Amino acid sequence: MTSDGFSFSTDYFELFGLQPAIDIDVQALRDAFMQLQRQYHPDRFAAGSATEKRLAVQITSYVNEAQQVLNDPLMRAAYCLKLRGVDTDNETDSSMPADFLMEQIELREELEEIEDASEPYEQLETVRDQLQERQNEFQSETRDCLASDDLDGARAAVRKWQFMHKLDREAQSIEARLDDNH
Amino acid sequence: MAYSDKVIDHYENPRNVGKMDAKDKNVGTGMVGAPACGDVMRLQIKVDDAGVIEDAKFKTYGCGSAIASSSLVTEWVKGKTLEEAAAIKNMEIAEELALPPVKIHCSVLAEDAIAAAIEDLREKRGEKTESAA
Repeated sequence: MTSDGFSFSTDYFELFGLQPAIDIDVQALRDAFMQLQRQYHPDRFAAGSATEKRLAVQITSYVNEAQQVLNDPLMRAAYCLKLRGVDTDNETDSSMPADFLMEQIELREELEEIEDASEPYEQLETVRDQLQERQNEFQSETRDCLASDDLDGARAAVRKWQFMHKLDREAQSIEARLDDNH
Repeated sequence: MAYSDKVIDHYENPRNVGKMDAKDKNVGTGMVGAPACGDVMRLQIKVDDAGVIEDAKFKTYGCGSAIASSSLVTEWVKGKTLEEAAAIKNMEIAEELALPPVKIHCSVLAEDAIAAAIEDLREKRGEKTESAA
């Protein structure tokens, strides 16, 4: 086996033979991922030199990381922007539209009250539907902005999407806690 | 991750949690958020006629370090003028709370929140805001 020709500077889309985009062929990603996993599986380098073994492990972890990013719509969108030189995660930029942050706080307050509500599951479902809807909106917005090369707009949409995604994760853990207590 | 005693103290006994009337002309509201962790912070200050901060409230949805940073800032700004409050730097917060490097951004959030609250108040009072960030 050989790992010649593998480059760690290959972007994730290229790695799986995909076009960089918000929407991808999920089946094609799966197929290409499995093929690369087989190709660089460390077991296949068992007879190789220490360098080759180490390289196989590094490639495998690079491929896994790439798959995780591309398989998640939000991470994929942020990665699309990163490829175009836009950082969505800049920790020193905390300015978000005030009305958006108001909505965040209201949603957080709603989530906070759910555990003491009389019909917690129903309320949770309502909030989660709302969160899903908002995430879909920001996904479309990101797609539209990218299509018209509006990188600032795409960045703003991804940042909002990240907040909604995070809230949905919180909602999921509330659901898990409810399940534990019932 | 191990939190410092001061972070734990502020987290378990947050000071000045609450809300003030955002429409009050003597109340400035600052809201900021960090997309990477999903933290949201609302910080409000109330000034007296002399322009001295007489009260401060906050509500933070986030990790312990973010809550502690905003709690600490509400304590620090009381009794300060807007100029003095605006001079608070995130590294002072981070040092006081002994925040580890990965949590420094929580103190940045608190600094940004107080800056936003001061700006909101100055706009309300018809004062010119500094253009420099």
